[in-house]
Amino acid sequence: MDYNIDDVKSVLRDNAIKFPDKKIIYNLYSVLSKLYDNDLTKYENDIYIINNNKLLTDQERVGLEIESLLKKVNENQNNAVVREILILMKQAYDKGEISSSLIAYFKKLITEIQIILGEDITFYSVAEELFDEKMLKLTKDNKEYKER
Amino acid sequence: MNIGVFKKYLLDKIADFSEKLKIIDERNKLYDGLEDIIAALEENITTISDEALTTIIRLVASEDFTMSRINEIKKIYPYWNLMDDEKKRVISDYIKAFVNKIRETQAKNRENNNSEKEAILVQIKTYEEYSALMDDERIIKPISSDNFASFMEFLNEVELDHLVKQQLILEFYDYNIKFYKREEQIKKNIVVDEIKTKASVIAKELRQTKEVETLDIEGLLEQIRVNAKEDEVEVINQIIGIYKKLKVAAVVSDNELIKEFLKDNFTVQDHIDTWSFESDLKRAMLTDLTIYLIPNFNTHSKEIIEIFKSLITVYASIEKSSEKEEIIKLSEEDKTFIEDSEFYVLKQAERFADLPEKEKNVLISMNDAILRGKSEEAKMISPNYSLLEVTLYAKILEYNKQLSFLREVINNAEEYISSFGLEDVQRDINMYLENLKQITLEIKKNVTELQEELYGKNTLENANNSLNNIVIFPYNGKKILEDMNAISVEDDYKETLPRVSAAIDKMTLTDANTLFAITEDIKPPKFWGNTDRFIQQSWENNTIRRLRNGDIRFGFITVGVSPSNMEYLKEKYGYDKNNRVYLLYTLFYKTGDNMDYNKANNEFVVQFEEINKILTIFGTDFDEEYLKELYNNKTKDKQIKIEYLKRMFGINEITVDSLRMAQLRAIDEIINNSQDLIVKIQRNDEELLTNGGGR
Repeated sequence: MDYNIDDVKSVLRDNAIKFPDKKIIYNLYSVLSKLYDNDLTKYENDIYIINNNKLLTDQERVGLEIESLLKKVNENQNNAVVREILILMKQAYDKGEISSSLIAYFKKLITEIQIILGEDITFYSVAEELFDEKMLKLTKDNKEYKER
Repeated sequence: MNIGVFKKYLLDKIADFSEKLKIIDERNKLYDGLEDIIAALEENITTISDEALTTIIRLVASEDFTMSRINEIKKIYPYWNLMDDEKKRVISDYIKAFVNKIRETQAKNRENNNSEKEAILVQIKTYEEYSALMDDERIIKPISSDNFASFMEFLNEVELDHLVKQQLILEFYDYNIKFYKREEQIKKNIVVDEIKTKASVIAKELRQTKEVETLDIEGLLEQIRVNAKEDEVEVINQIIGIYKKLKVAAVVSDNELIKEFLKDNFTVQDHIDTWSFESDLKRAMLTDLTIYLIPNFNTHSKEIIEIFKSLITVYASIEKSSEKEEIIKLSEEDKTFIEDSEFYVLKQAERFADLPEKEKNVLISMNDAILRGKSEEAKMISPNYSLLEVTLYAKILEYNKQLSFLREVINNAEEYISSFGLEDVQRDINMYLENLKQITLEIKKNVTELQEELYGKNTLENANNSLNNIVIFPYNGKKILEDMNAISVEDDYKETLPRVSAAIDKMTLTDANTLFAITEDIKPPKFWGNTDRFIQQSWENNTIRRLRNGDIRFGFITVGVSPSNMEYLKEKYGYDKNNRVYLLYTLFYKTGDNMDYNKANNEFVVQFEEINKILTIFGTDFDEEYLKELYNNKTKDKQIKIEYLKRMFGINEITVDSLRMAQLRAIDEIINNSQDLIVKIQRNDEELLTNGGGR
């Protein structure tokens, strides 16, 4: 991680930053601060070995999560924006339009949605990168974002 | 309607086949009856009645063997002694050829009969299998994909109206597609559950912080309540209620970030935000209350009361959303079946638990071969497992699969009903239940066969036929009565006696190996404290086992029986070497594993004097040798032991005879008193529960 607890604190205390972003930072920091780089993929693989022997592919993982999150937002009508994003993702997924290069992007999006919906994250392999990217956008390093 | 027509057609067919079977059996009986006649034919043809002879001739009638020829022989047979040798030889050869022909025909007929019978049995099996797919009105089970094509062929061939057949094909086709679609969804949801559970374990593991030392929060809350201003009392009371619920639902776990935000910070919004940041809202609220709010109440009461108010609102909203109505309810009977069978199957699965994944795959490959009808091939895959073990393993997997399907559907009934409709979901649930019952039966049968394979058929049969273990209670049952009364308060009042009765039946009628398989060891206490060393020793020698029925737990030990007592029990109570005497010394309402163990262990210590007395009475042969050893004992234990025996049996003098008589009297008393109580329990005598113990 490129940021420490003080950076996180300043983001969380910043009134200009929206609640969902704070929640994402808070949760990612909570789990990542205990992890080493080499644990990330291992944790994710541990989660996606089913019946003790079958390791799901990245495509399968993403498909499964999109579906399960969609179900969750359908139950709760308050998440219109999140639902729209998920529907777009599902359409792309069903058309077979997520290439391997898009996988990481989808995983990050899903991780953010999981946190917003109060789920535990599963895509540990992208969590750190997501955290750093997010922090970069939310901190003073990125003036453009702050000015918006 | 079509389904009803088809079901009736199948049942009628099955009835027809059964009739045909009866006819075949009759025919076989007839052939058996002819055996005597054939034997007589070889001896003396004149003893056979004309009627019987006609029946036999009809069997083999041909140019060689005609009625007139046989009658002719019968007529001249009384003059056998007057005939010349040549004549005798000709007649004798003729009868021999006749008998041979009849035997040959009999054998042929029997063979035809048996193969016809076999073919009909196969037909019945197929028809019954198909009939089980539906009730009188609707389809209740899918056809497995392996059999779908042959079922459609079968359906096409049945003697029903062409249109009805077409409709049926469509209905089954439609049902199968929908069923497997539902099952696919269930499978997917189970995978998602598995993933979510693992993700949650990892997330918790990563978030876990050092154990947090907390103050006496309930004491603090009480103080706050006593000192609260009038307008605060209501809020404080609600917080006390919420705190108590949270304490049960979550654990206090502080982390760096919570601390950063909440320490010395009494801004309402910051607290609300922090709870929402955490994935486990209840845990976050409990942590906040325990560490940051309640201990600081006296110095910041005004701000904290505001935070309390928000907490009450947020808590109410999560309580509301987590209230899930039980949409589909299983009957008590089904619930008990699931609990019992799951426990039983889990026990059976233990024998495979330590196998590495590779070996489990070997078992699966062997099972595949067996299912393809290639047992020999299966044996060649690995010599380490018997075919029975392989089948048992496969059935356990199937049981677990069906149970996980059932649980998934019941737990998420609302979701499934909204996607597939109540009727289909209810039908699936019934089907999974039926499957579980069927598989459990098969597993039980399999286990019995395996035991026969391991221990030999005869011993097991003997054990099963005459099985009558003896269940006894300490203190003439007084303690057990008290326990039942205590349980009936917590458990369903009406269920207590039937459950205790069922458990005693299990102990009385189950052979020792099976009882061992369906019960479990009580783990030793973590600390013995200053418990007498002798009690500890006895605990180690007498493994306590735990039996479950519904929510009631039973602690018992096996009582050793000395050779001469064994003889006595055999003579008086029909006891044999396969029987056991079980001392059931405690019953209690389930408290959770470790607590169960504590309860059973505590009772063992508390009741030790009585338990030890019973063990001594049943397990000792008070013979000459025993007395010799007792009197030769040079230590001070000798006098203690003599006094103990006198007190226990209420006798003044220690002799072989006095001891033996007192011992038999005691055995009878213990068994009869226990038996009296058992009879009352079995009769569901509710007075037992109102008397509050004591006999």
